[in-house]
Amino acid sequence: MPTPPASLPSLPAVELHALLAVSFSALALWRPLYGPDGAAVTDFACEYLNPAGQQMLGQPERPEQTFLTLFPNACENGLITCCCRVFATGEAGHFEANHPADGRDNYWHLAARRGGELLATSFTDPAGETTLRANHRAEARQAELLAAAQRRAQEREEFAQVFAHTPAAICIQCGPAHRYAYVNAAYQQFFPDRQLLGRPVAEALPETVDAGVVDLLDAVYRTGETYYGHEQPLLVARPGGQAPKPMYFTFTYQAYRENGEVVGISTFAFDVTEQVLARQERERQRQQLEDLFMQASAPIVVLDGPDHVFTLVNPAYQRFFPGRELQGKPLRDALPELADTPVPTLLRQVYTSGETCVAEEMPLQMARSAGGPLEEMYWTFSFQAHRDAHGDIDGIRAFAQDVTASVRARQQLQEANQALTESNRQLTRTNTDLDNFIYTASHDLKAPITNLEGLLHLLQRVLPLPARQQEGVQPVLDRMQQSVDRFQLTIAQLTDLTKLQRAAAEPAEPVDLARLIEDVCLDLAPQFAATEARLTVDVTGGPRLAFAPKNLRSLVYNLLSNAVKYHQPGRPPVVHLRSHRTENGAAVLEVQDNGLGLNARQQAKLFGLFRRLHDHVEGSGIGLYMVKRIVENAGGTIAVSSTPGIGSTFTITLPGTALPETTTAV
Amino acid sequence: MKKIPAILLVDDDDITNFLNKQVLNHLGVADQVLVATNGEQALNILARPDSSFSPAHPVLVLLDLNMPVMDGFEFLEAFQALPPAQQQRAVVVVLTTSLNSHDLDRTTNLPIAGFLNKPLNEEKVATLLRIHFGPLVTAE
Repeated sequence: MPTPPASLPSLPAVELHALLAVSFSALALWRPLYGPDGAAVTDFACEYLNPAGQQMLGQPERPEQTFLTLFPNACENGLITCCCRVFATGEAGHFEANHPADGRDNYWHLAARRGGELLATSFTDPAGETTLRANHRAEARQAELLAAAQRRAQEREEFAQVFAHTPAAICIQCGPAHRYAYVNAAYQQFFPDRQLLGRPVAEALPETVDAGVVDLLDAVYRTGETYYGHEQPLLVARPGGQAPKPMYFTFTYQAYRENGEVVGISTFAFDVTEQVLARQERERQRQQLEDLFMQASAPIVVLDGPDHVFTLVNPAYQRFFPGRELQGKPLRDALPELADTPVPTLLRQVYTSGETCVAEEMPLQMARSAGGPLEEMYWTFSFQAHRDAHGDIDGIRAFAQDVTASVRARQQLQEANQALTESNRQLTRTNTDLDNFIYTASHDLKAPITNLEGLLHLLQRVLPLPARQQEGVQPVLDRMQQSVDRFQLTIAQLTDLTKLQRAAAEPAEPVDLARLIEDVCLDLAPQFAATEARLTVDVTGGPRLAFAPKNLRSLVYNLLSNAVKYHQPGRPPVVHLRSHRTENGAAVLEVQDNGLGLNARQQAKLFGLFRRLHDHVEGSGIGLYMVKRIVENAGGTIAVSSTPGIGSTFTITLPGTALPETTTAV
Repeated sequence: MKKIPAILLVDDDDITNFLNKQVLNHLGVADQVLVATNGEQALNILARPDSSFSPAHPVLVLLDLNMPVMDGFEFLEAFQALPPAQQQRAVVVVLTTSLNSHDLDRTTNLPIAGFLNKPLNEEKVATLLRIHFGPLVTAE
């Protein structure tokens, strides 16, 4: 153990302090600290540190930290051992070290000596040159670090630029609460009105909690396993009471680590809402088409390939063949009875040419159930070629319609029409026969009755006067004459009837009513004169009529002649003929007389055939029957109002269609 | 008073012929009244070589249309086929009960001088003679 100097000048404290302060070396005094056993020194507490030491260690004059704390590597490199030995032996010690790991990246050395109960150390760089070199190295290192940091910053900036402009939405969430540390523009755009950065996801996007997003993030954070989400829906809340917007995302949640520990999650997400909605729309349309197809009341099938395999059979089609299996079978197997019909040829043509073919009302013998009896059915088909994506024909769509019922109905109608035509022909023949019969009968009857009349006349002439004057002879002759007259009248009526049949076929044409009435009056002038009849005509309110002129003349003639013929004896007939048009366009012709009049019973019989209500005047009993027939054939009506002893009014109403123009008659 | 040489009644009805003959005889307008009961007989009478008919003194034929064997239409067609000189020896007037339009159509283009409706009476005969034979004859 070295001996301490015998004596030292006692230095006043001020000078000592100055001495300590001016030293380049770090000087320190240490008090030993003992281990639990109290025998061995394990560490030292610092009692004093001079300014150079303070600067070097960054500590105050009396640091609280111990030697081992201030020199954490002292155990490893043996420094503490060196110091303990110096304290224990009292021999001076020296220690050299290069300790970059201490953070003081310099070469340094330490000298130690025991002084009393304390240990004095001096430690410093061996020379200023070393320090300078170390400083240069430190600066170089510093610049290197700076450049690296700038490079990293540059890279980050570039990444940030890329991220910012990428269409993918990117975010980084830190910590277990998934606090947003970064969101790029695309990500922010999903939630345009939200503050995301710096906030936990559950707070920034509360809707993600219920949607299970936070649970997913938690799982990724906990397990570190990447999660791939495919088209996951998220109802994104919107401000202002708007309905939440349904969005769909395809994304990855990827854990990122620091020092092996998961510290956050990076998210890459794509907004696939449009694609999903478009696909849903396509699916919806496809479904709609399928529904249409399946629910269509019209039978539809799709036949695939050149063998016409039933690939789609809608229920309406299947209903026609309830017991037959069609689906998946080629036509020739599914419906073999069609083999000898035109159907396979038509299908082949459509399949080859691609031209749509419509087959109307094709009669087919088909069985409704497999092996069942063949029934005659009528089908109307439309065959359309179906093309694949390349435009090549790969099948045929067949739209079928069972028209059996309507064809049958039409056939029945045709049969009925034929029957009708036949009976019409028979009726026409019968009418002609009747016509001929009436003519022949009237002719054949007329000849003998004419002879009878002639014979009667002859008898009157040749009968000797005494015989004629004999009692009873003349009345017999008179009655014979009456019978002949009556017979001839009947024949005349029959002849008139045949004329009436022909009159019905007369074509209509515009007739000047006023002139027609004038003509009729000329014909009736003798009767008018004989009875001193007075006629007033007012047809200014009436129209030109469209009517068969002969028939109209017949109407006017019959009505006017009746009005005069059946006048009240001793009272000259006064007849008014009026014509006007009703509100609904019908033409009215009215003949009013002051004649005999008719009671209710007579009125009921008035228009019957061969009805003569008055015996005292000439008449065939056919006039009014003809009038009624003519009027009704033209779609009109005739009515009579009459009071016995006062007179009658006959009113003919003809429908508006018989009146093409409304010119007032002159 | 002059008479026409002959009147030929062509009718299948005996009573009609009897009555017409009575009327004509009573009037005394013809030298003779001949009767044929169908068209064939009438043609035979007209074609008789010894007949006294001539274009200057033609026979008046009163022709019914409906008859058996040869009816009035057939007679007229056959008459039309005769040489003109023979045709001019007769004046044909149709005397019938009634004419329907169909029969009337059939008479078009046939050599018919006139139509009369039965029964034949003195007035009709007088008118007929005045029209077709002028002042040659007059009714009594």
